[in-house]
Amino acid sequence: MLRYVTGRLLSAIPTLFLIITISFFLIRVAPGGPFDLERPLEAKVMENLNKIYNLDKSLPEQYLLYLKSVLHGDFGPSFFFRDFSINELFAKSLPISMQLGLTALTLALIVGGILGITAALRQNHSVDYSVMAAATLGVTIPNFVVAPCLTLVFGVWLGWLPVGGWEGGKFVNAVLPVITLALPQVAVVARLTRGSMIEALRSNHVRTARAYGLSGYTIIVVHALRGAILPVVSYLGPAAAALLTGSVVIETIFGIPGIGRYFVQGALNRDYTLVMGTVVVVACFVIIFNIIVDLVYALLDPRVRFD
Amino acid sequence: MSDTSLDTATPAKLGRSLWDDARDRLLANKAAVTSIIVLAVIAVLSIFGPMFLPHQYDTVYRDYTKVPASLEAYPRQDQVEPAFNKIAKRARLSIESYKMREDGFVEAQVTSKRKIKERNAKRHFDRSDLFADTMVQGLTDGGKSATIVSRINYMHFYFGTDANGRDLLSRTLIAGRVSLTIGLLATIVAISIGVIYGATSGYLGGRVDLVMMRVVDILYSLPFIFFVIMLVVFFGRNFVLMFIAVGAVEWLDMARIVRGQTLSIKRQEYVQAAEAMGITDRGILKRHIIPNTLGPVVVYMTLLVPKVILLESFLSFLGLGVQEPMTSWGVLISEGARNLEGASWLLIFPSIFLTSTLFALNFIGDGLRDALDPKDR
Repeated sequence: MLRYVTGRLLSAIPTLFLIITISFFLIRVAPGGPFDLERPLEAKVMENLNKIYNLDKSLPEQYLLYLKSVLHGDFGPSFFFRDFSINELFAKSLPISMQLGLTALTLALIVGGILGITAALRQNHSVDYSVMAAATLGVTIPNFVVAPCLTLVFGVWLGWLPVGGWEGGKFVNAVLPVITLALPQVAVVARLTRGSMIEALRSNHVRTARAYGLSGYTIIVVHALRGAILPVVSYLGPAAAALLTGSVVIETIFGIPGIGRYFVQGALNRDYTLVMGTVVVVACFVIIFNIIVDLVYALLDPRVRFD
Repeated sequence: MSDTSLDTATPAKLGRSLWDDARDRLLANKAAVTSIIVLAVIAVLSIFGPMFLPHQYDTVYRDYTKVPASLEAYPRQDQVEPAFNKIAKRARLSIESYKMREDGFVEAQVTSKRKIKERNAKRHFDRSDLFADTMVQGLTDGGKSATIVSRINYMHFYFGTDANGRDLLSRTLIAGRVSLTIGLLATIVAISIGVIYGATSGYLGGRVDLVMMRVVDILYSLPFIFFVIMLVVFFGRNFVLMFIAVGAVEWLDMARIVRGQTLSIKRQEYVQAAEAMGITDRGILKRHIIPNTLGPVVVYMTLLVPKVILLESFLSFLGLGVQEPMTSWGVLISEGARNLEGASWLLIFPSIFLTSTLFALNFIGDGLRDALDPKDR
């Protein structure tokens, strides 16, 4: 297994390299630069700025310089947040986004899983229909509608929870963002679990387990769920990567200093290093979670072999 | 799928194609049928509705900013007099007597320190959204006193108005046009690229397949938002072009699905038969492979349209989408979210339209999946 993981990690290197290359040149081709302000800077100032940030060098030269610093684990200085390096920005914001994302993910898995199993056990029953209707609603209502509605109800009318802000990650500040983040995921997990659970409940090994007279709990959790959870696992890989690297919308609405906002800000301000940094971080998460998914798959399904 | 029978003498019973079966199963699905109707209604309303509405989506009624949704006409009875007084004051007229006539006109006796100029008075009153067809009658007292008769201009705002005083109903419908067009356009682009790419890759197989799928893998791990935002940066205000580009990004899933399908189809006897007959790869792809992958493609398409509409909404929420005065459901919703306290109708109505569209598309997708699933027979 260790060999498998190392192999996968090694094969991720060229992918990562290509991603860095593509996005580096893509953002450089985009019109505008990091120092284009409403009021143009003086030529001399501009020249000095370009010199400091190595923008006066040729593009291939800059590319090599950037690659070199990334290889040393340094994402460079931010062009927009002048006093910060990208590493400093990420060190502060990534843990926040990860904490939110992980909580939302756990919540989605538990709630969605339970809902999905319940719906599958009562297939074509009113319970099933209402769970599925709620799940469809959860998928279709955009989070930027859910978020203001939740803040209005729980923040303004009832006054139970703060409307926004983070304050170092207090529990009350995290409740609404986590719920908003988790809601669509709950819905998807419930749908996927229901679908595969229905199939699993009809399968031969579950029928055998029933014939043995095993308890309902053992049949569902040990025998049916083990196979039924596989599609959920493969969905959750990319979803987890997306959740843990922050959500622009939720961080904007709730005023959370996470990493999600940097993407949009960086691209719009042409903060080259910031955009590149977020791209690399997100890509790494995607790659790592894909590997984790494959490992979990093998754990759950003994037919899967590492090769 | 053929319905020829060997027995040529009695062509009594026509065979049923798989598509007929699928259609019947779909029509038996109540949720799907309801969804199709809902979607059709929304589409027709969005396309033709704005032509029949009294308000243009970009007409600003300055006197009616953020008026709540209502079936009754504006102005309300109690709004008329204060508004009239305000205008009179602005026109330097003092009101001696004021009367609201039964026939929907306001009649007022006014005096002024200076000579009343008919055109001037008319302009002041008619400029307001509340009054129209103002007449200045019976100038007396050397032109310093007159009777002003003004028609109250009743207007309906069934969905209320936004912060700029624009009719929300017509804006919601126009937004529907934009959102649906974007959804459809981007989806068609994505599907076309994805199907052709996936089918080619799967059919040719071997090294070509490996390289083509490797490209998909790499594009997959590029953060999607990064792509989209770069597209916004490149294409800027031209949202049609932008969404063609979004479609050009969204094809990856489609390519994978079609490739998987193709891999199993190409081992079928009829494909081998076609190969044996010397039909070109292109011909086989066009005649045999692509038509047989259409089931999952159609299902995926109904799920991709909502995805694209949501994506557009998301971009609009960030202020990167459609530009004013044009609008889309996403733009309206993000405006509504900002005005949630005090003007909740701004969020409610566009959300209802967007959500029911997405809901309908999802149910149609589910219905199609069930209908086209060969295991379900």
